[in-house]
Amino acid sequence: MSQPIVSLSGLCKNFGALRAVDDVSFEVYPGEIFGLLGPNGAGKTTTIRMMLDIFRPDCGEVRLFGGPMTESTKHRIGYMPEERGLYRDQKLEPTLRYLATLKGLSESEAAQRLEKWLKRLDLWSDRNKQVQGLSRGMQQKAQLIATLVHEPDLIVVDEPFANLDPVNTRTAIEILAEQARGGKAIIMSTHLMFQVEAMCHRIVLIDKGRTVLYGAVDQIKRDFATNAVLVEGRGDFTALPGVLEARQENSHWHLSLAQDATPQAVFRALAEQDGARIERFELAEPSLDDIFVNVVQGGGEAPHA
Amino acid sequence: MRNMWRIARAEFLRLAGKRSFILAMIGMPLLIGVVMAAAILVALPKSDDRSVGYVDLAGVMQGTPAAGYAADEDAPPVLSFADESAARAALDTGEIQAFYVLPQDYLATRSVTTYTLGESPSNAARSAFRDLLQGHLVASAPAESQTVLLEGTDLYYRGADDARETPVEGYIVGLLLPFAIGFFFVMVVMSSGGYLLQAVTTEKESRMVEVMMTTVSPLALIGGKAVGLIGVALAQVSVWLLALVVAFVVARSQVPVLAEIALPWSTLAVCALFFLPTYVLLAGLMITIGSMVTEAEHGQQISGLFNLLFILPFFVFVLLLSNPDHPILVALTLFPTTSMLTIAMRWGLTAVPAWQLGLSFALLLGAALASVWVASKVFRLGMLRYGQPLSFANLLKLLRPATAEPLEA
Repeated sequence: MSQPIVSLSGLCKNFGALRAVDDVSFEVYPGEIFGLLGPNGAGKTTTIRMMLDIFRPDCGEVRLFGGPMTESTKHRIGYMPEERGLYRDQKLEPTLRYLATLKGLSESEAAQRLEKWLKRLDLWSDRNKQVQGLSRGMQQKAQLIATLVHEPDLIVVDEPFANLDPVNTRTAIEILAEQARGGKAIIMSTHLMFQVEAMCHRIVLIDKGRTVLYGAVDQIKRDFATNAVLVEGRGDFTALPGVLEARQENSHWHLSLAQDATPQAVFRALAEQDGARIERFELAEPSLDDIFVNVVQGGGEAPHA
Repeated sequence: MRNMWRIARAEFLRLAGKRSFILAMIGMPLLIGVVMAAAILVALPKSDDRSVGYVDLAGVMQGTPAAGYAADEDAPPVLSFADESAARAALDTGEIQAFYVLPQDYLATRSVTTYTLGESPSNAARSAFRDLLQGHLVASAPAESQTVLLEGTDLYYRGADDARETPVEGYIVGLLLPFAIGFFFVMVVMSSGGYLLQAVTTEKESRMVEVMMTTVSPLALIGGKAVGLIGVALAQVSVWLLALVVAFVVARSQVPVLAEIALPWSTLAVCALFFLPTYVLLAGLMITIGSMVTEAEHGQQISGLFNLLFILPFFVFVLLLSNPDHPILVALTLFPTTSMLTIAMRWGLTAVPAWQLGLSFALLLGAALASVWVASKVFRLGMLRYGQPLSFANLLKLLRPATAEPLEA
């Protein structure tokens, strides 16, 4: 695997008596979309702020691109914070051009790239409007442009899809996926678990300042999977060998298996059953949403965190 | 550094391009122009260049005036009348605008009676008569004393340390110009400080600060804003100053005494020296306030109190006139927020001792550095407290030694 773009080790931060972040460590690699998850007040934003040198950690180390944050490193980062905005009394395109030049682009280069981005995100005709005259969704698209226009190697987006309608959400997802395919590292903080499931390669789940889950999404789902299968079709699913309980849920059956039973053995038993018709057979993996709720409500302990 | 200039330029253009700013900038010169025009229009009809007369019953204005006396060519002629009735007749016909009577016991009483038809004689007429009277009075004195008696003595205050002296004479040059210069510098400091406060609160309200802090260094961000906004303030006050200079030049052609005024370069130099640290001090205060509050309006209310600390010397102006070395004024000279203005105001009236200048400058520098230190502490955390003000109790906690960022974000 290539060198990590972000490497946090043993990060902690106190706010008075409150330990907001406690021994958080993770790494983010080029080309991956990394989910930074956690309930409200878990310490996600504080972690991001320490990572980006907005706050100084009380202990632990942050390394970006193999070293500490420097002024030149900042040009390689695109950050869209949760609390975000633009200068409200300024026109859109000049504001974005100003931000792009602060990130190291020349005026002409910034203008060229902005034309492309504004057209792609359907803001070209609004480029000379004042920011305060734009809808929240349009402002958010503009903020996404400000985050990406200088082609950063590390993109940090906090709740990137808030305020976006389904069409624009899809566009934003496409853009982020495209950036990841281009080798950029993306850290995404969001509460929308189905999007994390769909987009992220790996995640870290922080609760009460501590890491409670860290790893590849597929692996985490497997780790949380109980010994059960989902079956959809016709047949008698209640008296199969190795099945402790069969429960019908909407259009499918949820079969809880005995500890020594394997899904393969159950599948074979089903296949041998006269008149049985199997339309779907899969391991009953919990959704990331279930895992999130389970871990957070269950005291923050994962089986293999 | 490049980004600091970019931010400075953007801040300058952002504010200088606003309609309200442009209106304020050109509104003041327009107001000055209107006031000047009105003053000239009112003053012109009153200009009376008719002669002025006198009746010398004391016999002190006979013979030739002192050699050093020379009548002003532009002044109204001064005519002698043998008695009051002749003078009165000339007054009634309008030949003269007024006449003076020196009684027989003038040398004992030194009282002179003025006769007019209602309106006072013009300043020029009064001066012409006074100069002629002085010329006659000193004519009998030894030749070497006549010039001193006619023109008076040039008095200077000299500090006990012998480091600096200032003329006593020349009230306008000595008092008003340094006062105006001090006022100019304080205006620049305060207006740019106000703009800075506005810029910081705007940054906070617009939720741009996190993006900016991951784009540029805090020094470039705050430094750029400070430089850009001082540029705005300088531009604004310079336009006003230019208007004043133009008004002054116009006024010089109308009021001859103004032609004698020279610019007090020493006042300018001392103000220029104190200007930068004073601005840094106020900038630190404004950044601190801007970082603590959630709304610009609230920040302006608090900053109003701090602004009072900078213009405090105006409130002791009467004391300044009566005793420019009063302990209160010495204290204000040493106090960092008031030092620049107090020194400028005292400059024309007394010799401010070198130790006061040195100590004042050192204290100001120290206060400016402390102000920037506090601002840098508060800015990083206060700016991220969206919708939550930072209380003074929390501010004190924040400034405790060995406390990095002790407050809830």
